Amino acid sequence: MANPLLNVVDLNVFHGEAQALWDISFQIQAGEVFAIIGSNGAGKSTILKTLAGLLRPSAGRVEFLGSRIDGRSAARIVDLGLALVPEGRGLFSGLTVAENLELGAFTKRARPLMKQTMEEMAATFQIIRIRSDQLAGKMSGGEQQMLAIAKALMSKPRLLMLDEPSLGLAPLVVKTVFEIIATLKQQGVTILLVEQNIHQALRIADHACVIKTGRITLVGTGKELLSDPEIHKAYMGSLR
Amino acid sequence: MKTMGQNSKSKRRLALTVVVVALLTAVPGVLDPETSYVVFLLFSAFIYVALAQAWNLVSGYTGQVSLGNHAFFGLGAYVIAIGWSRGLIGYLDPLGMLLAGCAAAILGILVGIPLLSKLRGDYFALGTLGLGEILRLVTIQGRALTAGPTGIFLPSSSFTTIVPYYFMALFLALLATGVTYYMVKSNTGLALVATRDDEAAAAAIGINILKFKVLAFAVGAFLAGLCGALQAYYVFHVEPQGFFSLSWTIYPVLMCVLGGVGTLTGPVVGAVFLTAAFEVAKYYLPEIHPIFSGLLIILVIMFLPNGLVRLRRGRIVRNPKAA
Repeated sequence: MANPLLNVVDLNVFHGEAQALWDISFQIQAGEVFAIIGSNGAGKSTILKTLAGLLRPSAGRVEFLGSRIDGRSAARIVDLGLALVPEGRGLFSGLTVAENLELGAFTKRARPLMKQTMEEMAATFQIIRIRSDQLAGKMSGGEQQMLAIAKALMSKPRLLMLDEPSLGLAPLVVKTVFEIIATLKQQGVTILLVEQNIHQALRIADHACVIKTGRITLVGTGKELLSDPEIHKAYMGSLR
Repeated sequence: MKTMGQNSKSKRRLALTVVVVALLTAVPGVLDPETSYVVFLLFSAFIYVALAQAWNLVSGYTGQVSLGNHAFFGLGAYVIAIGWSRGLIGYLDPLGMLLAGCAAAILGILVGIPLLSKLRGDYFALGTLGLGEILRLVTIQGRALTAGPTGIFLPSSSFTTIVPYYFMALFLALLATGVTYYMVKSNTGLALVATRDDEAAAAAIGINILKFKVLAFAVGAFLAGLCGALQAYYVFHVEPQGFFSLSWTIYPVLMCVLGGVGTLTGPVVGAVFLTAAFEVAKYYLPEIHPIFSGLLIILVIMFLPNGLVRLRRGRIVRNPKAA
């Protein structure tokens, strides 16, 4: 197997006195979609925040393209090519669509390519073509999610991390969001997807893991986990 | 990308700014600067414009509510007083003023890094408030260097006319507004507003939030230091109570609130309006003018929390490029 794009080894993270993650280990290969699934409060977002440099691990290591990135600043990590679309989208509601995208290309690596990347985003996302002067805060939830993904892509990421992209969206919009994720996958973008919409996430994921109260309990391909009776029992009973 | 409408609006604004600056430049030539109260009033207003812009940059655009501008103002004044009294700098010395601004900026960086990395919101405001008090006590205890509570008397015989003060204050107001405009229109402005709106989201897109917060804080301190330096040259007596008075922070805050926090023109409008209002109150209501000023502060915060500039626009504008 080729060297992984991201290698997470025995990651332990505390929120104050409380331990949130125990010995989290997984690998992501370039070009794949890796999903982390689990119920609310399991520690999914904590993993992403730690990878993005927003939280510091107490033990373990994170290697990206063969170099350790745990302990580095969030700004440096974005510059290295990890982009996070946080839960709640992380948009600047008082700024326009174009300004949000401009901010997405804030890093040294992305800045020189900003104009070209913005054209690419306009080709992929219709809202950017037609609403560039609109305030982000005045868009619908689905449009905001598209903008949030586009904003993250402006940094020219090698790994795009999406935290609950379907959260709070109408079913039809969720479908569109997953179509966008599928398109990005086809374009070769490596994606780390954190989702509670387990059925959709596992359908699109090459590999996935299940996290429960801060520990990884299951690892496998998306297909394997989708047909796993334990997963169905625990998370998808209503979908069968 | 700017539309044609935005371009013509920008040109109109620029033309209006040039006309206003030209008119203000002509004032000391038209009115007798030695007897005209208007010249003094404008001099005071210009200093408050600069102080209000300094606060606006840190608190309005970056979202870090600072109550420590009087510390930087007082430090700038003491740099001039100590330097001039020891013959290191001269009367209305631009190099001395630059030195005062730089000293304030350096203090801003030294204090800003720990405060801005550890404190948020009200706690940061209280931390900066403490800075002014610390410097006041230091200057009181400063013995020969600061001349203690009495302060340093400067050679007032140097004063011949208010005209150079007027133009230096006008320059400071333009400098503060220009620096704020430049920062806000650049990528730095977007980073500052992003930091103000959502620090976690700003960090997640690669903005070094501490760097930008400290930058804004240091630039604000620099501007406040320059204002203190000019005030020291004007008053000729630099002492702790007057120069580390909280009013050098509170009045500019109020001016920003009245005009519009986080807008470019708001602090200018607020500073001119309130300087005039306070001076009128001092003149016509000498016994009760602090009560009048206090009442005005309460009324402004109750009825104009978004400022006069936004009242005209009829909505809250959070976009720095629209301000």
